[in-house]
Amino acid sequence: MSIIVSCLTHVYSPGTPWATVALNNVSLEIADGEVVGLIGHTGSGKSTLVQHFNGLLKPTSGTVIVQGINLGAKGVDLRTVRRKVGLVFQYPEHQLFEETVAADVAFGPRNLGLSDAEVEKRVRAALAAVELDYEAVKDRSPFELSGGQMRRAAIAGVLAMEPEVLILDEPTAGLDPRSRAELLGYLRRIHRERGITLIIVSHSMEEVAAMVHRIVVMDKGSVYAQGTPREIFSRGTELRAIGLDVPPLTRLMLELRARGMELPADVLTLEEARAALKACLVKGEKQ
Amino acid sequence: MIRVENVSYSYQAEEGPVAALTDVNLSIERGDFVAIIGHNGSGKSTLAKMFNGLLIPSQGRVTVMGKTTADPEQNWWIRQHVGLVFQNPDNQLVATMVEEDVAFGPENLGIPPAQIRERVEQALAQVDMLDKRTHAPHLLSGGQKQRVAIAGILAMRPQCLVLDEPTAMLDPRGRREVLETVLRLNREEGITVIWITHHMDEAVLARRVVVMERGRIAMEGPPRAVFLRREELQKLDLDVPVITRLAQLLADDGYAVPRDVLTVEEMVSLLCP
Repeated sequence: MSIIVSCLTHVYSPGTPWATVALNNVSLEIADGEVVGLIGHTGSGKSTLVQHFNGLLKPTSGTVIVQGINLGAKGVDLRTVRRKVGLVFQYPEHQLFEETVAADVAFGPRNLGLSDAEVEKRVRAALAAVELDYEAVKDRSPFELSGGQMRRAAIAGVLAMEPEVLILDEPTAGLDPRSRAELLGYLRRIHRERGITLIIVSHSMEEVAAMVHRIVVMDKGSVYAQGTPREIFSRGTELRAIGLDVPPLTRLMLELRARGMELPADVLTLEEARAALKACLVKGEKQ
Repeated sequence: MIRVENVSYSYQAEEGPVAALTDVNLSIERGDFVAIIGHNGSGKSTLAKMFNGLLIPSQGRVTVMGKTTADPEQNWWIRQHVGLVFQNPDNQLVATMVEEDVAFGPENLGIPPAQIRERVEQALAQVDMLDKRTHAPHLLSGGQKQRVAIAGILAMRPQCLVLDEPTAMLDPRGRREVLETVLRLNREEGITVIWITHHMDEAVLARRVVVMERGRIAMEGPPRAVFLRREELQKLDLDVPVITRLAQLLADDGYAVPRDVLTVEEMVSLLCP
């Protein structure tokens, strides 16, 4: 088991008038090599939750065990944990700071005390994983890159640490459709090739549905629902009620079902919708 | 209302001049709702900054109600009539209280205090934020912040709102709030809207869609007409809305479904009349 969260509660500013319960008794397990989509609207607690996965936040109560290490135990070396768990924040390109792309990506591995040769090997591999050409970008300032390229360079910086768990908070926010599709493609390949555990935080179910094994829906600091994308999508009406956007095809199916058409509620893809409607429309004609 | 005539624009990069806009022609009518779509680097944001003279064309001209944006004398007048809202609401809010923030623009126009108060109140009512008038902007949600930013522009009483990816940084709820607010301003108050977005489901709500690619206008027309041209859009790596795609697949299969259905609601009333 990669991550085991038991009865995790987190309160911001405890003991003050501003005390806010961000996580309320959350229990959750994430298996090695699993791809999980963490969905919820702003304030649902999803970012707070993932910041516990590498020890950036400490539980107010409850435990978090990552790759066998209990993060709350006395004397735990959080550096070891942060090496295993890479966290890519929202808009990670805001954290680029070095003079060249190569130096920026190398910053983490260099701090691990690796040899120059090993650092360069990792930088090359990390840039290749996000399809940035090492020779073309290594000496360029990260700030000369396009928005999408900057995002990829920032992600490469985390990949170069060779984490066992990679967490990305809204990785496609603000990207155009082309860059969005490309980035999701890189993540899928990174998962396939490196076999790492991947956790994608998003408020768009549609975006993660095609690539995750499991969706965990957060609401008001608790796990509201979890299951395969298909199981979660079939609960579209509930999800809308907690402020989440349901993909248009799911919404169409729900609306048509509500009007008495016999359609499945768990349609994920365009082809499935097409097939379901065909079956239904033919039936209608026969009657 | 706004005319863009043969506009080209290039900016200086280290390697030399880079063309951001090439020979763009566009005319925005009063009360229009125009969505501009295209990838990053397609020139949409450069074009947005042309509408109120934040950028001046290298060639050609942009006029707002007959006044050219290249004329520095008209700068204030033009910015008062064409308001620009950006992607990140955090960069647009300056004051410590919502109503002070909204008052910032009219104060700079030298409007008497009594009138400012009236304008601020009205602008906050227009974006449905009157009950948050004494709140601190930084404690609001993303959607609320963006609505306050819009109120700040509305208090200048502009004829036209230009919004450059106003929902890109918002969650679904915030997106819906901002979209509904702007749609209402357009439909009920006749404010001209230019809406720049990556979201096709937002573009379908416009009266007209302009597709930008490499600094040029690649396609233009009502959403129905533009989204019928799926293959051309695909060549630009742009998708048609998924519901339109479904309608086209069902039409391919021989069902009596028009190929230009845009929204879930439309599809529902077609299939379940």
